[in-house]
Parts: sequence; structure tokens; C-alpha cells
Amino acid sequence: MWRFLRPAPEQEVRAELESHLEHAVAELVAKGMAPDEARRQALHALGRLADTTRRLERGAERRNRAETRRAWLGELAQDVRFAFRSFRRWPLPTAVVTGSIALGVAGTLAVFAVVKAVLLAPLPYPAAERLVRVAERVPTGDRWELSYPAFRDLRDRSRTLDRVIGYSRSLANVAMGEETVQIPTATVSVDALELLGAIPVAGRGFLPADGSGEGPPVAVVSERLWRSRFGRSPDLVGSTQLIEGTAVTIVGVLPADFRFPEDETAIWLPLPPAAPWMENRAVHIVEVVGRLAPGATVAGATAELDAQLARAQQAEPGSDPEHRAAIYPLHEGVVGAVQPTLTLLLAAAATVLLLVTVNVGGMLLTRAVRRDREIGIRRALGARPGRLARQLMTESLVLASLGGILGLGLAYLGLGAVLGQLPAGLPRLSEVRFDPIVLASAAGVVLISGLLFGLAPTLYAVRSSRPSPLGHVAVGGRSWQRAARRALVTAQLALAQVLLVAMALLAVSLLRLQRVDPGFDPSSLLTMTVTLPPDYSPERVIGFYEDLPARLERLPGVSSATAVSRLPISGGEGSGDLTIEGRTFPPGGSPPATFRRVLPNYFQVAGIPLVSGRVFDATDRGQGDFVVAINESFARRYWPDRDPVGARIKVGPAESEPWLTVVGVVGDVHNVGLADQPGLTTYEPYAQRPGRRLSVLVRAAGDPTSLIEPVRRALRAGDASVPIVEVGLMQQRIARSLAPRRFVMWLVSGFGALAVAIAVIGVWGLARQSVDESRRELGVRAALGAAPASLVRGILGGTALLAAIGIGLGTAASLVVRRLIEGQLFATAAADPVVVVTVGLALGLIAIAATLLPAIDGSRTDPSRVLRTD
Amino acid sequence: MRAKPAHLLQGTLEALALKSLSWGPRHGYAIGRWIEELTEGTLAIEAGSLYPALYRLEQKQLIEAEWGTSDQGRPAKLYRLTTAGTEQLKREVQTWRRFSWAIAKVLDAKSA
Repeated sequence: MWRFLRPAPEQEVRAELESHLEHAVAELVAKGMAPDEARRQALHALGRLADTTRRLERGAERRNRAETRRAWLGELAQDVRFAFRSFRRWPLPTAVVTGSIALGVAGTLAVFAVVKAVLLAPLPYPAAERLVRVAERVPTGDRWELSYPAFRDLRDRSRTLDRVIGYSRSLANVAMGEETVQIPTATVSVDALELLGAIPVAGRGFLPADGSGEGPPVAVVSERLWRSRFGRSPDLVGSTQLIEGTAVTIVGVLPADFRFPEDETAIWLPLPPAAPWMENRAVHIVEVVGRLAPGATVAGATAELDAQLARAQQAEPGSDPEHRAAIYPLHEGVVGAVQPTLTLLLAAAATVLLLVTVNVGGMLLTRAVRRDREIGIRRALGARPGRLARQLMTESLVLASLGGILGLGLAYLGLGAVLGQLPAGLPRLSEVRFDPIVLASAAGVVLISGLLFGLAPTLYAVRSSRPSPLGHVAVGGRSWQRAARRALVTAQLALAQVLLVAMALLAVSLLRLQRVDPGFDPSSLLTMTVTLPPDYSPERVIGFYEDLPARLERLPGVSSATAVSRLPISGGEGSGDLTIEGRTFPPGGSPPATFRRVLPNYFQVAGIPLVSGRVFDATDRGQGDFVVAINESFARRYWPDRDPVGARIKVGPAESEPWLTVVGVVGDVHNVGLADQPGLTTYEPYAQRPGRRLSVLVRAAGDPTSLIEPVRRALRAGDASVPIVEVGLMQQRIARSLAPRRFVMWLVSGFGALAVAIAVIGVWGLARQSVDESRRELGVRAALGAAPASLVRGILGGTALLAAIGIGLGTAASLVVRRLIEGQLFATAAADPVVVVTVGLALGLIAIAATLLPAIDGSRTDPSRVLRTD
Repeated sequence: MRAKPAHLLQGTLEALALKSLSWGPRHGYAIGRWIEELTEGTLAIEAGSLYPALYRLEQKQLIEAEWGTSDQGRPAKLYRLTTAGTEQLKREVQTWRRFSWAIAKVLDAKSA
């Protein structure tokens, strides 16, 4: 060990050179030289003394540095070995600590991997940070797409955007042998693929001529479609496929990892010039993405588009005067909707990890106290406090690393499971992976949590330990430790309370949502959606659905059948374009409404009550008066004190649409979703406004699933190529519409359960420790005749106080962070007092229950045994 | 004649120092003198090279040092071989024998 206690290099070198010189002089003197001459000659032999000294010092310094490093590594290895040895003597707590760290790390890591891929990573396009979504903001605050003329103006004239592309998305009917399937398709500007960095893996992308609308129709497809539908056939490029009834030449294949505008998009068609009906500035149909020119800003682009919209308004009065530019990063456009959910999940996971850290800190602190004797002896044997601190920290870091490695494995396994469970529609999930950044963050998190939970025991050991061969520690250390331990348990209860409140709020709002009356009867309803081919004449389309109920009701097991343009609980709210006779809305300020077209028997089959007037019948075919039915909310809002039957409204552009006479009022239906208020809804008879897409509802007498095949066959009886999608049961559709909320609720509940389990371990551990420490006192009191019950009460009282403080702090904290959860709730306030109080009481009872066992154990202390030890 | 050693190969001095310690602990001056006397002054050992070489050997844990008293009764830092140093010396000797045999073979060659 003396090697490590070296003097400073310059002292060492001076002493060594002096000794060298003395020996040289002595030798020369012994040979008979005069001492002065001997000294002169010996000095001369050393060369220029300053240079020699410096060379020696440098050598000594280099050696000392290497030795310090080696010593440090040696001590580290020793500490790590020591840590493992001490874990072996302490197996159960080590397993609990490692396991809880693993769970905490796994949860945080899995959620962080998703957050990193979805929210943090730039979009996978070149110059992604300069790509912006371009839209218009209407007075209600909604965003609308641009009209084709507005898109064209911007593309051709913008100075702030050096590139502007337009696109629209659809489900295209594609003939696959006998069958027709619907494939997510995007119609994009011909230069979009190049702007977004899509390099074809086979064939070519679009040429400028492809967008002229004159040449032969072409398409490019995704490598994924090429694989799944065409078996990677080399003949696909150059072949002709029937898309939307048109023969289209496939000219190229884009790589599987190119995704735009949706993850699922598999076919891209070139955007043609505007058709005549698109030349209307009130028709907002082109989604637009632009690239900011170097030096241009979002604000600059917004000002430019505002000016452009104003000019267009002057040239063409009446077209959407209240619209303003809405330009925002493309990244926000892609992931904005899921950001609050993911942020909430990350916060929940991080809270669990923090709770784990606090709990482990408490356990290690207890252990440090048990090791008083060991630490005292080591101090007596000369271990410096710094050395002891390092060794305790090493132990914490080794524990953290073990837990971290285990957690990484769990996260890796868990992420696959979680991704499989995620409700559809979360963007960019295909990009989620454990990349170096995620792994590095994991290592960082593990390191920090190890340092944090190592802090308390290390501070304790350094503060309390004075060299003492008897291994006893100053009493001050113990009381400090007890206070710290209590503070840590209080913090655990506070964190658990935050998570439990979040979990309860989500659960309560999900329950409330499930109890919402959808406004129709979803039981035994089979649904599927049919899109009639574009080459059907209007007569044939009308014939198809007029014939539909009778055709399906002939099937055994079907009690009734009908059709609607879009199923309930399926979105489809549109803004504007509602005119009410006798009322004027400010420009662009007409109320948002939901529009549905139905067969005459729809209300009866779906179980929607008629409130006043009549439902449709076979005579409502658009000849003579046009008719409409509205929902109760609509009637109450605009005709609060009279029956609206007989009133007239318009659906669509006021200048071109005819007046529709209200003939009936029906009950409110949650057409958009269970969480959305029914709002204003209009129903028109299909025959009055034919459409090619209709969703079929079949009410089964028995099991609806057994009807899927017969109904499908019956629908295709006249034309086997009719595509049928969205086959399912209405009740499943409702359940699926709640799936994202249910998923978030279960995930947060998982974190909450973990939090409670960890907090229980913390409370139990504290109770056991205080019972152990006061065993002597308990024994004495029992010997003096105290009833066991009063002893138990004393310990329980301590826990109750901690629980009250912790739960109070947790409640305050959950109020502070309530913004995180507000958007996820339905009909429930983030500070719902019933929820908060119930959760707090429950957590308090759990904490007291966790104390009960050690407390009873303590009250049974045998006085004679205690008094004999010590 | 005292000649400056032509080109003492890197590491050679370290081997010589190890050898000088194989009879027991010595201080730096004694190591240098021992080499000079044995080679009759052919190898002159300068303090500016010797001590850094000793420090390198210490760093490699081939020798260790301790302050003590020299045979002359003066304070001196005494170096001694460690077990690893003894092993290393054996290897160095073998390497040098092969090397010098090989060089001699080439330089003494009488025919092509």
C-alpha cells in the first residue's frame, strides 16, 4: 500500500538526485579527489541540471498517473466483488430491489422508445425540419384544407416556400383476380416523392408528364404491397392493374420504409390538374405540404398565405372571407394528436421509476444501519470515509446496473407485446426500436437512479461512522436515519397517490363512457360497408339499395336489415354548409353538423325513436319536395318552443342546394363517437341523394357472427367484385372505439398497481424496522403491563401520520400536474373530489394494513427474551 | 575511452537495469556505475535516461522502490525486482541472446 502514498514528483526527484550526487561525490573523494573538485565533476556528469530534473519529473508524473488509475480500477473491481459478496448475504432484499428497478426501468424504457420514435425523432424525410403543413383556419378554430386554386397559387408563386406539394387520400378499389380489395391510396403532386426522398427500389417515380392528366394513367406502389399482394413478382412494374375501374400502369415500387401520408398508404397516383368542380375556392380538398425556403419562417409563410387568401377574396367575393392561414410543422401534423397521451404515459412510467428509486434508497438505508458494526470496524481499521462512500456508491450502482440490464431485457420483450396491443392509428409505430439513443438514455437513467438511491445510505455511513472498534455508531446517526427513512416512505406514498389518482380518473371516465347511451340499439347488429363500383349508373345504385332490405331479410336468422351512409360511432362530423331558413350565420360561422343518408327503415331497424313527425317512406325519392329528418338536439337548439316539422334547411353550399323540408325529429345518436356530444345531425333518404358507399346493418335473430358469410354472399349476388369492408359487430365497433382509452387506462393502472406494491413494501419495511428498533422498549412496556393493543395502536398511529402527509402531498402534486391528464378524461374533472378522496382513503388503509403485521408481531414481544439480550 | 553509446535501443537500458538488480536491491547511482564499470565505460549511463527508465519499470510493476540506506550509509532510494520483474528479465535475456546471435551471424558472414 505504501506505493500509493508517494510524495509529489518534484520532491521525490530532488531527493533521488541529491542521493545520486552524494554517492558520486563520495566515490570520487574516496579515489583521492578534493571534495570541491569532486562535487564539480559529479555535477557536470549530470548534464544541465534543470533539463535532467525536468525529464525525471515528467517520468515520475507519468508513472504516478498510471498507478493512480490502476489503483482506482483495482479498488473498483474490489468494490464490485465486495458488493456481490454482500448481496449473497442478503438475497431476498437484493432480489426485491433488482426486480423493482427492472420493472421501473422496463416501463420507462418501453414508453420512452415509443416517445422517442414518435415524438422526438425527426420525420424520415430530407430536410424534415423545414417541412410544414399548410391549411386554413376557420372561425370555429378548425383547420380546413386548401382549395385547388389556393394550392396552385401557393405552389406557383410562394417566395417563403420553395416547394409546395398537394395530396389527398382515399381507399381505392383494386381488382385482385376475382375479388376487389380496398387499398389505402394517396394522390400526390408528381414532385412529392422526390421532395420526400422516396427512391424507387424498382421502376421509376413520377415524371412531370404523369401529372398532366393526358398521358396513360400510371401508379407507383409500396414494396409492402408488392410483397403481400404480388409475391414480389418482377413483372409487376410495367403491368396494368385495375384501380377504381381504370386500367393503370404500375411504373415503380417505393421502399417499404417510405410512408406518406399515412403509415398504411400503399399506392400513389399522380395528382392531375384540377377538374372543373375543383376550381371552386370554397371546395377545400387538397392537403398541402410545403418546404420553407432557406431563411424563411413559419410566420413569414403564414403572412404570405394570409395575403394570398385576401387577394383571392377580393378577386372572387363570397369565398370564405374569414379564413386565415394555418401553417405548422409537418411533425405536429403527423403526431400532434397522440402527443398528450404519450406524454401522460411517459410521466406515469417515470413516476414509477422515481418511486422505485426512493424505495430502494430506503431499503439500502435500513441496510446501512444494520451494517453499523461492519462499517465501524472498517473505519477503525483505517478505511477513509471517502473510500467507504465509494464502496457504498459502487454497491448502489451495481444494483442499479443489474436491475437496468434485467429491465432492458423486460422492455425488449414487453415492447413487442405492447406494440401488438396498441390500438390502430398511432402514427410512426413502425419506427419504434431500441436504437443507440434509447439505450444510452436507459444507461443514463439507470446511472442517475443508482446515484440517487445510493445517496441516503452513503450519507448515513459517512456522517455517522466514527472509528470505533466496538462497531457502535453515534446515536445522532440513528435519529437522522430514522427521519430520512420516514421522509422516503412519505415520498413513496405521495408518488403512489399521484399515480392512483390518474388511474382512478381514467377508470371512472372509461366507466362513464361505457354507460353513455349510444341512442340506438347495438345488440345483435352485424355491420359491413359496401362500395359500389364507379361504373354503376345512378339507377343501378338506387336499385341496389332499394332492393337491399328485402334481399337480406329473406336470409334465415336475419330479423331486419337496412343501410346508412356511415355507421354510428364512426366520426364524420363536417363543419359549415348548414343553412336554416329565417336565420343568418356570420360568414363561415354555420354550426358544425353530422350528415347521414339512410334507407327509409333505418330508424326502425337501428332502434332510433321517432320524436315527432314521420320517418321516410318509399315516396321520398327526390321528386317533389326534398325531405330531411333532424335529431332532437338540432330541434331543441333552433326551435326550442315549437315543432320544427315543416321548417326548411339546406345541406351543402347555399347557392346550389335545394331547400329540404323537415318531416321528422328522431332521437339523438352518438354518430361521431361515444365521447362526442350528439350535436346537430341531419338524415336524408338515400334515394334523394344517392351515394356509392353504404354501410349495411343487419339485426340478427340469433348469433350475428353466423350471418357474416350469408350476408356477404347475398350482397355480392349480382356482382361478385363489389368490395366489402369493415365487417364486424356493432358492439365490437363500440368497444374498439374505446380501445385507445382502455389501453391508456390499463397501462396507467399497471403503473399504479406497481406503485402501490412498491409503496407497501416501503411502509412494511419501515414498520418492521421501527418494531425491531423499539423491541426493547416494547418488551419493557409489555413487562410493565401495557396491553398489546395499545402497542399496536402506537405503531399504526405512526404510519397513519406518514400516510396522511404523503397522501396530502400526492394530492397536491396531482393537482399541479392535472394538465397532463385533463385531455384524456370524459365527463370527469381532473380534480374530482370524490375520486381524490376515495383513492386517498384506500391508499391510507392499504398503508395501515401493511403496518399491521409487523405491529402485531412487535406487540407479542416476549419481555423476558428482550431483557436478556443486550 | 569513454564513448557515448551509439544507439542504445529503446528498452535496452531497462533490461540492463533489471539485470543489475538480479543480485539484490540497489540504488540508482549504483545501477549506473555497475553497468559502466562492467562495460569498461563503453556504455555511459546518464541520470537523465536512467531514472525515467527506472520509473517506467516501476509503472510496469517489474521493480519496486523504497527509501533506505545505501552500503555507504547514505539515504538512498533502493530498487528491487518484483516476481514479475524476475520473469521479465529471463525473457529479455533469451531475446537478446537470439537477437545478438542472429546479428552476429549476418555481420560475420564470409560468403554470399
